[in-house]
Amino acid sequence: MTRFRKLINRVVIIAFVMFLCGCTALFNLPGLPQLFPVVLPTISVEPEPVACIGSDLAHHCEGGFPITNTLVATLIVDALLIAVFFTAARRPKLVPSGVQNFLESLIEILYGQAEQVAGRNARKIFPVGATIFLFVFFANYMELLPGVDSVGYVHRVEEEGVQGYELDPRTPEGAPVVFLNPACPVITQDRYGRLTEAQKTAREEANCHEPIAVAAAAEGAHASEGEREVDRGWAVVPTVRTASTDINVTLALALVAFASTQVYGVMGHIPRDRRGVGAVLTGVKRYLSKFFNIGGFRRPGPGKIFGAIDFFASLLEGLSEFVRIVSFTFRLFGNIFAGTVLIFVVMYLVPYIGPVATLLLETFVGLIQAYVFMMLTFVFMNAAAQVHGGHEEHAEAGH
Amino acid sequence: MDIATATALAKYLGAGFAMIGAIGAGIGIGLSVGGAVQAMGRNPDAASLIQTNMILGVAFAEAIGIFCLVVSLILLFVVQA
Repeated sequence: MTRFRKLINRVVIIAFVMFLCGCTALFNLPGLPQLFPVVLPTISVEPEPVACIGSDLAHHCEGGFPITNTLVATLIVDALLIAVFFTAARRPKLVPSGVQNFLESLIEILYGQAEQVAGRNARKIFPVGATIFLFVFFANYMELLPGVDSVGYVHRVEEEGVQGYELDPRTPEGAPVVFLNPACPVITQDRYGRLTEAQKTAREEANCHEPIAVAAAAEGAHASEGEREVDRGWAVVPTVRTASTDINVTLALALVAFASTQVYGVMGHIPRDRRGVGAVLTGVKRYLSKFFNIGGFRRPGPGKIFGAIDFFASLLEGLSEFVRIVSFTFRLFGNIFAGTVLIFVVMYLVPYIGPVATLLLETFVGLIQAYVFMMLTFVFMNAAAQVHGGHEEHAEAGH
Repeated sequence: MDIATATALAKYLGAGFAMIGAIGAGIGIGLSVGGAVQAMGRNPDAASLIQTNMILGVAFAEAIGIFCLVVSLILLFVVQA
């Protein structure tokens, strides 16, 4: 019976997908009205504000707190994680099933990775890395959802360098939902001159506006009235944008990983037989001696040269701690941002079968990046807690 | 060639040149994965351990390529010419 139901489910899903594909393909055939037009979304490195607390969006949110679209995505991911884990862990069953089963196996896999790196200390480093993994994983996978990065408020393009489009003429007056017209990107006169004849006739058939004169706009750039005359078209500010495409989010994660590495490193250097503030201070001192290793200067005679080498090597080790922040930040940001740009461009060029391959690649990249972020956090934390000064202590004891 | 065209040209050329650095990342990833696959062939029991370390190594090498990509993307989408 369950097998039969599974089969029915599968048939229904496949039929639904085929129906969607058929609809989109049918409505985008030439000659038929375009129901789902595809425009190239605005590619912007910095996140766009979608709301503003304490100021006005019209004034670029000066003096206020902008709520950017990546912040919206971050909050959605947070809410999702909290909701999923609360519902799964509220009434835990001894024999897990469903969501609880899935989450338990996921946590088990992550814990196995922590154990592989840190052995019996895995319990201490596991929460930081696993939290980062879950957040990054869900945040990365948001870019695969339809509507993220593409649905949002339409606004007039004011700045240069953003490709604006004309509104779809079939949009009724005052409608809550509008489409951009992909047949009519707003272009300048000199770019219009470089189009081929076929492209020019395509624009004429779609009843596009005349190309804008940029020279006049540039002359009138200082006079604000002259600037307003130029219609640069419309662009979309997405309401939700993948959180990892914001460098602030990845920097924050990197700083969390960095800070917890330092704290765990100090904890690992606190002497086991002592307690209190004095022990913590000793831990900090021992931990810092990794980065300012002046113990070698105490060696007699020519050994001081090697002491100097040790000192510079330890300085480099300290520098590498900070380089890790940069590398954490840009690794995640670069991968996911490049992924979204790739999805945009492929959807614009090959709207139908093409994006499937890209989305598959991004599924892989999103998982790998989350895994790498977690593993590197584990490895760095574990390395920070390793006590290196073993022979130094012997030397001190000898003197 | 006026100054605006020259800046635009330099912008796109710079973005292209920045990606030259990806060669190094590609070689590095190829070497580390090649070594890991050989090691896995010789000692299949250690495959999971090798795989973990391989992914870490690949992530380090890839970071360099991603830096190039970020520089290139900043030139393309942030720098106003």
